[in-house]
Amino acid sequence: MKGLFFQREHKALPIQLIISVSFTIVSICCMGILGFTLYRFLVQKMEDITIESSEQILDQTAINLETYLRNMRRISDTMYYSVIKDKDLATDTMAEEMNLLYEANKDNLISIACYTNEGELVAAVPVATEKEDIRIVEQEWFTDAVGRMENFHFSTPHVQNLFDNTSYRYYWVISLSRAVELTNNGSSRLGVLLVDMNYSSIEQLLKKANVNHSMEYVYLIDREGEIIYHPRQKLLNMHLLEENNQIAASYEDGSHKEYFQDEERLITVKTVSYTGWKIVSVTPKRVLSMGLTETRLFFVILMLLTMLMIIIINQLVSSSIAKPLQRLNESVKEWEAGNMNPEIYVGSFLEVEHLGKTLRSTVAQIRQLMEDILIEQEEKRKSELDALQSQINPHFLYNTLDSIVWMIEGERYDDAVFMVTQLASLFRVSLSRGKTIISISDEIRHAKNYMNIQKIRYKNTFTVDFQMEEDILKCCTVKLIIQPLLENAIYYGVQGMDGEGEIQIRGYRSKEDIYIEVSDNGIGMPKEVVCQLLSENNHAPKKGSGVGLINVHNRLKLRFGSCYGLEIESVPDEGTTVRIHLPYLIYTEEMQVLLESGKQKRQEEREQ
Amino acid sequence: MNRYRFYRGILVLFLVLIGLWMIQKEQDRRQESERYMVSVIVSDSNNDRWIAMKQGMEQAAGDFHIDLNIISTGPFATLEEELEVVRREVSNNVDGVILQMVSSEQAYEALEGIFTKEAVIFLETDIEPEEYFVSVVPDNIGMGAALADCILKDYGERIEGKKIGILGGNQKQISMQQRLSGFTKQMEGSNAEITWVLHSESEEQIEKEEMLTLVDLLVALDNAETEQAVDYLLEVPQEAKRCALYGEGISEKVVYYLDRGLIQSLVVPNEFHMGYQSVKEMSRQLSYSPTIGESSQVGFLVVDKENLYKADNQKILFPIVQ
Repeated sequence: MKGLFFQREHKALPIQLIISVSFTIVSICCMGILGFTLYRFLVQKMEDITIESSEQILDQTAINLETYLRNMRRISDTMYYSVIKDKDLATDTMAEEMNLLYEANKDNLISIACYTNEGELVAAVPVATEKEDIRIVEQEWFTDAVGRMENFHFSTPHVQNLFDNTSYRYYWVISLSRAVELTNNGSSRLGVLLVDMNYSSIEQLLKKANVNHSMEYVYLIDREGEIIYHPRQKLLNMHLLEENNQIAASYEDGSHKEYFQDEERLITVKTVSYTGWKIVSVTPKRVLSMGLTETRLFFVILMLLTMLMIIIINQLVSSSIAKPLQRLNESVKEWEAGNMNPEIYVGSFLEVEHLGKTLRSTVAQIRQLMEDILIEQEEKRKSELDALQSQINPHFLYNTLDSIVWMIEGERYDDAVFMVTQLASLFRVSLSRGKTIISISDEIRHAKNYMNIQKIRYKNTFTVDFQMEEDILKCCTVKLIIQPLLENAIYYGVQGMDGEGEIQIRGYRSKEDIYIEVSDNGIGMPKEVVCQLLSENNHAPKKGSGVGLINVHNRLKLRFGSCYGLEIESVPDEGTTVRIHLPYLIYTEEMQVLLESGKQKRQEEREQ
Repeated sequence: MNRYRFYRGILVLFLVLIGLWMIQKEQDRRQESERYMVSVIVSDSNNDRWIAMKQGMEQAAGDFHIDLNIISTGPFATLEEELEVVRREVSNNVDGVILQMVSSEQAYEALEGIFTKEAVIFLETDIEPEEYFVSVVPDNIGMGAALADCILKDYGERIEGKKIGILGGNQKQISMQQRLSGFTKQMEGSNAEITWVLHSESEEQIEKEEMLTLVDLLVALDNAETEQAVDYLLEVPQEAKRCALYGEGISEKVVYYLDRGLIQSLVVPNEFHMGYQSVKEMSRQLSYSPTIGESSQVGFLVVDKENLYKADNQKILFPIVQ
């Protein structure tokens, strides 16, 4: 397992894959970082815009509210400094001035009333009947005014509980109360001036800030966190909804983040001057997320598309880089496969071109070197053949001439003539105009000439029988291969036999092979001797020139290939058969030239 | 070559997926912008007593994206009169109907043939059999009992021998039956005498003066009955000083007379909550399943002249910013 892993770890990968994957990883990482950074930037920007927008709304609302409240304070100031201070309650009435002031501001006002410090009504507009059993001094606006006389006091919204209204109408008001100094009969006494502002005016101001129907909203609280206005105030009143108003009261002006009811919210606070009221803008974080959902998806799609494009472009780029190298590699593979003249790719990049040219020149040099080696080997082989053939000729000539001499000495002139004639014919075949490849028919003729000579020499102590198939006579053979076998058959087979020796030469075709057998019925050989006969270092006893089977065997192998040559079968006291194995090749001049050049043998070896 | 074809295929596939996704988003957007139409049918819909409930309904309609149509109606004298309005609304292809039935009896059989696929929610009163429909009602038994508690608290031992007249309202409604039973059950053992119980649908009519002279305490079980009792007392001022009125209601008129001291105590159902809850439940049914729903009960408030202006009470009693 470890070995497998090791192997995998070091398995060479295609250059295109490496380039493509590397580029893709780098590109995707860069895109990812870029996309994420851009997205974060966008989120931050949207948050900033939301905060800015909230602040703008709050500023505008605060301005409107401050303007409204300033007007109310002005009414109160006007009422106090221009009316109440100038009047002596014992002699003057303030109803007219009060009424004028009310009429001028009645859109925003419910009532203006002035009370003594004992809760007795001094004057009020619009004119109405005061409720019976009403305890003014216990009302909050009154106690606030009396408690801190130097200030204006703004109450939280409440239902006015001062005057009887027979049309069953009840008004929600915000009371602006202040302590005033009343003059009665020249002496001053404490009183309270009450300006009841119509709550609906403030509600309208705040509603304008909540026209947006998204989940963002604005509400108003007093300094203690009591809600003055909330777009869903009824639900809050019914406890069907909760608001974080108490905590919001502690926030400074500006933007804050808070978690309320498992939700992250962006809070922007603006304090309304003088009153200490706070306008609070609430933007749930999910509103930002909702707005960003489309953007986020757009980003993801854009990123994916870009990545896809990058992958495709990377493929194209890596392909264009790797292609020349791959083509160069294909050329090398073709060369490796044995094509000594491959088409080496040269082109594209400078480096690849240089590599290609160098490889092309290297291949050419190697090819030249190999051709030189082949020529050299061929020369060597030829010289070996020549050496082998030159071993035969003196040997045979010596034997034959010895026989002729022997005949002439014995005055057997006719036999000598016949012998010389046979010898001449034999030499004609031997020479064959310098050819080493001849037809089998010539070789047989040569063998017959030789046997005729030998028969005379051995006084017909053996018989010779040639049985050759007609078909093979026109085929090619190396010259002088049968004659040494016949010589051996005579010397080692039939010579010195008690009975008549028989030598049989049989030639036949088997498929694409030719076999020529030289058999004798001589003394035969043991198996171990047979085994040594065709080995280079055989020490078999030799008669005559000492050359024979090994010579023929080597020549055949050199010429036709290692699968051809001699096979020997011998049984002691029964005889020996030496079988020549040749390829079935029709003798033509082209074939002869081909065989002479050795190409035929190389081709056969390659085929094997 | 094959590789490029493969990448081209992926690109095309990707673009097709984006296209499909955009179509889906567009469909979702359309679906989201689709709003349900809901009709509200209550008796005498322009009466002040429905103000808080309408506010609750409108708040919920805004919150749950529902187009609300509060049908303008007069007081329904009979069930058939109301059913006629219901049929008309159903024929207008509304998605749901919020209904205050003028009669709980035989309503089921009558409505069965009218509603096919519309969601229905009953307001203020259940109908028989109760389990077949979803309703949003006040705690009617509790309200009746609360009225009795107010009397018992105010009178203590002095209740013994006091005569009580009850304006029982429309006793064809389960809600009114429950209020009456809640009251009478609570008053059991108090040794007070319930002299008469007058139903609004009863043909028996008693002279106002005669009615008031017969009793020491007047109990009105719904807004209309309380307003009627106020009118009686205003018409016979000498009896008003002797006869104490305890009622149920939410209209500005009854609140005013509570403020004036004509009504001793008032039981006020949280009608804002009832309206809000009914629309919320309707939205839930329309969005998920019209066949599954859950009835709910809303609370009530007991107010008198002393606590009328308490901050919490103000918020419920005076829903309108004038």
